[in-house]
Amino acid sequence: MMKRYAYRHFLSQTQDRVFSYASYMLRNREDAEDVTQEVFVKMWKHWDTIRKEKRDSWILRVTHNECIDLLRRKSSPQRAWTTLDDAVNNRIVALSSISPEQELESGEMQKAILASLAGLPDKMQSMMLLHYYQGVRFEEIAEILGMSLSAVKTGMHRARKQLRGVLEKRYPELAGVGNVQMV
Amino acid sequence: MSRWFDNTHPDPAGHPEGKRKGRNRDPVMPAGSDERQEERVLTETFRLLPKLKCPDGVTEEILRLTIRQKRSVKRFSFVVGLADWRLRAAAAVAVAALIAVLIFYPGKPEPVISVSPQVAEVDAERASEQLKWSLMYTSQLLNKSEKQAIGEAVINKLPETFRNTLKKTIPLFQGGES
Repeated sequence: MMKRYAYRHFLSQTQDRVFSYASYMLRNREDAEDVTQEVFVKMWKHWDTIRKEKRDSWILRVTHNECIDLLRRKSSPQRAWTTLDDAVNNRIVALSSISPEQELESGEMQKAILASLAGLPDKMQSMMLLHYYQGVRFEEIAEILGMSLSAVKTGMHRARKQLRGVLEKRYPELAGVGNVQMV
Repeated sequence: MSRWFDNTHPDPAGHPEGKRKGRNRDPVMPAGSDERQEERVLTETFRLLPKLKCPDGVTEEILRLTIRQKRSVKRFSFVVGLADWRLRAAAAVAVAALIAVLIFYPGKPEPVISVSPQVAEVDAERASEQLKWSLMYTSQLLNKSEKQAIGEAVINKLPETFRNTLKKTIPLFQGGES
């Protein structure tokens, strides 16, 4: 009984994050739904063997692996934004705290970054999403992705550099958004 | 809620928004560089990305496949599984024992003769007589050797001059007695 309660509690806390991560990695809502479902069913099967403090990293690691597996199966390196683009346009996030101009700029920036992320290798995308979107520390990213800490730091540096390059190339007009030079 | 998944945290990536105090602790960004500002922009931009909500249908499906899974089939699965495991182990042991018996069984053992040997009464009496005589003889030898040992022990404990005198007088006594 406690197991069911704990699992349900964990599910309610993490399902949106897992779904978001899968969505941004796969850029396809249906695939993200499938992965989310599969990951949580897997977690239920292994619930007793996963230590409580390791549940967060476990679920992210499995989600990441499932996403990579799915991407490899589909073998479509240039994934197009499909249904996720609508979500970005609909602006689910509340941006009431910033001015309309800033909101416009910020929204443009988000779209630009999301589109530019697609040009990065999967591992770099994972690092960026985990660190900047999920707020995961480098040490934990290393654990999730099965890399060394120094490799994660180097990867993050390269990812940022590549992202900057892609942004400069695709969206030169966005350089300087938010009074900050991206170049 | 886990710190990891707390996207409402003012700075989910753990980077302070203001100017850092003390030495630079950022392992990637050098202190005071433009990249620090770039880091801030990235952090804020990613943080403002839409928080996608997991569809209710997916949640329902997860719950159906996990905690709401019907247990009618698996209710006694543990007991059955345990019994099955024990039965398998017992069967394995039984088969091993059977094979061992078939290999090492030596065949029908020869009948043991349990009849005690018969002794004649004359032989028994003679043996008894011999035993009595041998015991008497042994007793005599023991007595003799005991006296001799005591005598020698007493003599050895005496001073030498007295011992010599005693050695000379004892034969006289013994001769006198005899």
